[in-house]
Amino acid sequence: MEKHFNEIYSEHKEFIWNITSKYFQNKWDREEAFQEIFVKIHRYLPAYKENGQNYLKTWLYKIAITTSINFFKKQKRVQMIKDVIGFNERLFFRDQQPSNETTMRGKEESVDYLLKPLNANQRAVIVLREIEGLPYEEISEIMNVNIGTVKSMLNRSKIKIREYLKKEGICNGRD
Amino acid sequence: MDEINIDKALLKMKETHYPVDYVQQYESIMERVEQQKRPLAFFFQKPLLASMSMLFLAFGVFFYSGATNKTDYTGNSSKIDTFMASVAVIDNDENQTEQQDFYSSFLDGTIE
Repeated sequence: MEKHFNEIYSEHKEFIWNITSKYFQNKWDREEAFQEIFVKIHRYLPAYKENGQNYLKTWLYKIAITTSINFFKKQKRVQMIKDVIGFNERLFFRDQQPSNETTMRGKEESVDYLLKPLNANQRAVIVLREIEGLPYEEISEIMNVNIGTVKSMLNRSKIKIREYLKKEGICNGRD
Repeated sequence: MDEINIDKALLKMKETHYPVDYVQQYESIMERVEQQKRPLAFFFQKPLLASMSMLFLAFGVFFYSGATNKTDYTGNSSKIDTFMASVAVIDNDENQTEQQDFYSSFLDGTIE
């Protein structure tokens, strides 16, 4: 079992990292989600009946996306509680916060902020389609929704990103 | 204002690579897997935190049971109240019997 898990880790770690690193904005979330995904893979591996390499990849995608969605929702709830009780991270981690100027300059150069306005499912669709380049059929299977829903979610996500970029005055994706 | 090209921005995002130490991540994953195999490991690793949580839980259960053990609207007392009342009755009965024995013995003259 351990051998099989190690094989999966060495063969598929890059693509799982690619999903989590694009799905989440900060380093801590990325690493936590990445670890959580592999812990789940380890847990469910005995129950998994291997039906060829393609099926394995779909199974891994399913675990990666479901875990990322759940992790994102959990983080949102934690953030909501922090907002309600007025927890200010800057008071506790003052030294680790980048200055305002750095943050604004970073916004112009990086693309981390692109998925910021999207909810958990919209992020998943963008990552699977635009980053991983999966066909609509596979995305619909992974996310357990029909193809029409995938297309409309993708379209809505792009509109949301465009509106967000306009609102924030960020010109990164401009022609 | 120029039109914002989302596809171009997403392409840039796709090409962005975030560095990660896969060996360190693997070690952390295996550590978490081991922790899940030993659910009581938490108690040994963080005994203070574990005992504090247990104490908190115990207080919670105590107060909750106290809060629910109230006399209900029909006037019937709860289990604890009934139990305490029955103990008091037994106590009283025993005391009364002892006292009666004492007085009868006193009156009989067996005790001066």
